[in-house]
Amino acid sequence: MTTKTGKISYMQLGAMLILCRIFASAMSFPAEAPLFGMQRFTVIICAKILLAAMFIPVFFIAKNYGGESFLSIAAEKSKAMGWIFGIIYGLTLLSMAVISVVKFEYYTSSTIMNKASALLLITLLILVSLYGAYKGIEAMGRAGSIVLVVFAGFLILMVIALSGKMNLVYLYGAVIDNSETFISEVITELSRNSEVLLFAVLAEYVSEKAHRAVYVYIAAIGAVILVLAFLSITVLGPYMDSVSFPVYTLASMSDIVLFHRLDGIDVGVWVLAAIVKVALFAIAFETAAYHLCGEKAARLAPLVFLAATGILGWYFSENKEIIMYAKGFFNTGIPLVISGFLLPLVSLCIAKRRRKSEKADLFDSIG
Amino acid sequence: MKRLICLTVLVSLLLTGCVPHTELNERAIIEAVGIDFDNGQYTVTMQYYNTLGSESDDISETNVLTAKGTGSSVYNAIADAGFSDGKTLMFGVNQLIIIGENAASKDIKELLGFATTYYQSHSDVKIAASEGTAENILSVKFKEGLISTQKLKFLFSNAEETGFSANRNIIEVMSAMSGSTESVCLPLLKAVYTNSDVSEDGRTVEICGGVVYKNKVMADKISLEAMSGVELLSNKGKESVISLVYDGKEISVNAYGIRTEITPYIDDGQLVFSVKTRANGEFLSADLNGNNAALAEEIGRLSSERLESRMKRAAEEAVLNHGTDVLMLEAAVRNKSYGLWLEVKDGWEETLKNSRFEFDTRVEIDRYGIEQ
Amino acid sequence: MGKLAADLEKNTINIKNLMDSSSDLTMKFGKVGGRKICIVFCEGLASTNTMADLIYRPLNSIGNEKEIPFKRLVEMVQDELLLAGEQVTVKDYDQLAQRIMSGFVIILIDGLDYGIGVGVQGYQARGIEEPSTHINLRGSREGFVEVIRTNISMVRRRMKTPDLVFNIQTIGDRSHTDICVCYLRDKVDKKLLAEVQKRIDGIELNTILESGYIQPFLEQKGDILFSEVGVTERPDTFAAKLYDGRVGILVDGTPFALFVPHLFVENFSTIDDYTGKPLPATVFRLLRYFAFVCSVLLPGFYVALANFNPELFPNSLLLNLTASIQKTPYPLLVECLIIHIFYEIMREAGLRLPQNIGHAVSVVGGLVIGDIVVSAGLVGAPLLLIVAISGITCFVVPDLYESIAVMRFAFIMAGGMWGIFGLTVVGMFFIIKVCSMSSYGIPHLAPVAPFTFKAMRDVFIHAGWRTLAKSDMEIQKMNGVTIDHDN
Repeated sequence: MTTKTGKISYMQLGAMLILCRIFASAMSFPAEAPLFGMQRFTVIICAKILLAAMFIPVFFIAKNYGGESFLSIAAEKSKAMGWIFGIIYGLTLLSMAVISVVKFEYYTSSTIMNKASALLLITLLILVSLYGAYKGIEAMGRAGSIVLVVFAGFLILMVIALSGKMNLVYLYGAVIDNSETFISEVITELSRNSEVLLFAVLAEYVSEKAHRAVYVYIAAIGAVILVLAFLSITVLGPYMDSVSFPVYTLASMSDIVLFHRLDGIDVGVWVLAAIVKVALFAIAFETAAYHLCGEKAARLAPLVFLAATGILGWYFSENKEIIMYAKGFFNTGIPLVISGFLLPLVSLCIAKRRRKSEKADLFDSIG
Repeated sequence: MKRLICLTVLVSLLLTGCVPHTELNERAIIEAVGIDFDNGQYTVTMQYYNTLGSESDDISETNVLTAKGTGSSVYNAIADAGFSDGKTLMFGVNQLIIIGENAASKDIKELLGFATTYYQSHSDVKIAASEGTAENILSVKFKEGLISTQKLKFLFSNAEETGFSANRNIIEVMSAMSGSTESVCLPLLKAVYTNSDVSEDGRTVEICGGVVYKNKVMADKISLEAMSGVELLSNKGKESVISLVYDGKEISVNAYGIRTEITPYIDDGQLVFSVKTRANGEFLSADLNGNNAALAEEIGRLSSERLESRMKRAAEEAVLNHGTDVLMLEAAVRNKSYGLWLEVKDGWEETLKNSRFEFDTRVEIDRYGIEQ
Repeated sequence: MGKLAADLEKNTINIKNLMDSSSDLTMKFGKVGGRKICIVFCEGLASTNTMADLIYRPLNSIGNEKEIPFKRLVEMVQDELLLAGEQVTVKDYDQLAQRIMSGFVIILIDGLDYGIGVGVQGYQARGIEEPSTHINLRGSREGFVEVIRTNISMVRRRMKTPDLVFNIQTIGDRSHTDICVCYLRDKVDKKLLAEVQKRIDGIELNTILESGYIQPFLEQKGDILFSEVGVTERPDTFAAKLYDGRVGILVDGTPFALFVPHLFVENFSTIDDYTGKPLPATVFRLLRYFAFVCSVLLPGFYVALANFNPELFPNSLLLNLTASIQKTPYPLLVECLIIHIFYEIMREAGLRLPQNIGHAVSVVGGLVIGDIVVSAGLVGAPLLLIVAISGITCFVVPDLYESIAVMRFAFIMAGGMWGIFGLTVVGMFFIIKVCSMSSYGIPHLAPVAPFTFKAMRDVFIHAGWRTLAKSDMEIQKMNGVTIDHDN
């Protein structure tokens, strides 16, 4: 059952998910220093394999039960189950959105909007995201693909500008130096993928072959993150460990004829990506609300969701130690596994059983 | 509903207001920073753009002004300079940081901290050391160009083109500081008097050698020849001018397309770096007699010797004397053989000190100029 | 007022009352075949020569010598004598008023309860001239004129196919303006056509003096910045749009024709792209996109960078900029706003004034004021240059001029208050706005977003006629199109 009239293509959904993920890579708290050297490549590849595994339940729901989501399946089975699933999902979404907003505020006010008020940055972000959420998934799908093209242009410019500054001597052997750090880094890398949550409900807006968005997403994101890691390693060398935002530093080193440096464009790209991401969270929340509370409540859902995100984001941006704890919890990957893997897995089983019984009923009636 | 949304947007925007900013004409655009240390106090000297100097027809009007501050740390000294100058200091387009002789004994990461943590700083800012104080170097005000610092930048690029000096930017320095021996080699500047009117007081600045850092502080000064050798060994110097005496005549050769490969191996318990250097050569002097092929071979041999001698001095002065890894040999060992790296990584500094360099250098003269 | 009566005297009194004895109402009484007749028309709208040829001469030929039976007389007047191409029967007063005001002559015969209308339109109208907008280098010099029928003929001349359909309708309770819906029967999507008709039927205006009056009714609600309806003054462009499967609307009284749906990317193509070589056409088209971005963003970007992130300027440029704005008294944002406001005022003045005085305004504005404000130190020279560049570049995409002007002000404000962050946020707002627009189920940003590869041959590049001729690209066949949606 499709909730809205808006229909997007799987490429558009894939583009939006890619943006969300790259945004998560570019924003980081300094405490999340990435591993140095080729080991980073191994971390990324392992994390992507695990990510593909995490997508299995939502992938099969999208493939075999097109137009449905794990929430709609659960709500159809039992209202109570739908509510439990919805609340867990909604809270995870809200937490992810708040963390994204705080990270964004921290990043922007640490870079080109130095010392700008958190209230201003968050308010503007939330207002445009709200506008995007009300304009719907179709508008955001189109806007997302444009932003992705802007990002691609930025990445190409950056690669060209930095090609003379790469030092391949920094590419140490792809060996796991420290297995404990390696595992924790893989989990951190994996926990940055809130996109499985978005795909879980937004797949129902895709006009056909929604599952293909997963192929597009995993392939593209793997490639882009590997390129960014390659650039960071070869250009920054061991200094990468000390840099808060490697992509920003890379951009600031990119000297092309027209622009002295690309960090302004870098921040611009992430602002665009942030708006797409926060608006998508709101649309996902609205969709969840639609399944559980009906159309009227769903109409108010983005407003409520984004107001909560804005207020919490503002509060936590002033009290970063709390969000660091929360981030630590999210870095374990537990919330993501529950909301993005276990709940959809349960829904998938329910849907399979439902189809089986439907088939049996059909045979009975024929018999 | 629409009115309500418009009102909300308007109120939110009014509440949040503008971001505080500084108008361009209220900024002092810093182009070069000198850091000195004396009597427990840091002194920061900054050259910034004099807008009146650029507009004025009066050639005596200088194109840069200087702001100076002192403090117990570099940050305090900068703040002090800001107070005394009145304008908002802007480091966004700073081109050069010069570390004075006394300040070189201080942790370079701390000295450069103001530039690495500041969001506006450009990562391509050049780092150099100075003989005497950095203030002395920055007091040379070149007349040529839009701004005095441009001349210093040209000095670096010329030195790089002729293969005599390292051109180190802040990212390279900080990256080198993240290595296990925290070593880097910086060019060394000196202010000298000339007869020309290139600057206001007839002085100019030249590169007279280099300094080697180890464990974040200066370990030693090295000669200009060794500095050139560092460039060759780091595979950064792609071109180098060589002066020779052949048949009683002073001749010059431009070695170009220089490529160096370092292969580490263990020989009888000692770490050996086998350095293979290949280059092409071009005659810069025409007044030579004799068979071209034989002459080229002979000149090539002599050029190889000169290049090798530079590299030997570099290995000795910059690496073996202090166990400093300015050539990123650690990375070379890791890249070539991870097993070897595991063998030598404990006590890497000592291993480096006791290591040996083997050279195999060849310059092949293949260009003879237009006049034969 | 009701239906015409059989009594001629009553009819003429009623017509006089209906038009309050308006001065241009002309009633010529006479007698033909022994019966009283009255010829009613509006002065200046009917051609007197044609009237003489088609009406007076045949009527006079009947003569008054002998009385002709009423039935026979009507038969003669209606079916045998009058040779006009357009002849209608008018049964009520409203219809009669409308017809005479469209240049018809109505013949009323005593005893006949309807009038015989003969089309003898002969009003003065502007001749076909080169269009004042959408100027081209090569191709037709003909532009639409104010007379709808002339416009129809111009389109027909370019598309001699029976599939081209013109459907004339009258809208406007008072103005009774003729509009003509045009389409190619085999190309147009029937749902699109029905939707256009539905929207035309929903127009509630009394008076329609220009196509701009009905344009908002053909758009979605809330489209206050960008238009989903295309406007052209060129019959060749209009015909080309119909060929893509669009619906065109001609409105009487204006040379500006409308067509729907209209895509954002169409603002960047000109008729010259199609008449020239593909490579130059591609280069110039890309230049137009670049000019659009420059025009919208350049002043805002300059203010944002100078106020918040001057480090992003190349070093020498920054030093030169700083030197040039050293003595200016106002903050850069205020300076930029003032200069732009004055620029727009001067443009308006130049536009509205007679052409010869308009030139003087541009000279005074451009040279004298510009030079004085810089030399007096009121405004920095770089800012003036930026205003000039953004001013010139926006004329490269004339269809978007108004939108660009509004967006430019928004970007200047955002850049001046919130720097690059503000520019990006406002930019994203506009992107979402354009992305959310759908014209009759066709996304306004199509074929860029949603992306249609095949259509790219004529979007950022122009592939040339050899490639374009291989297959047609109808508008309804692009990705993301859902014409069945009720917008």
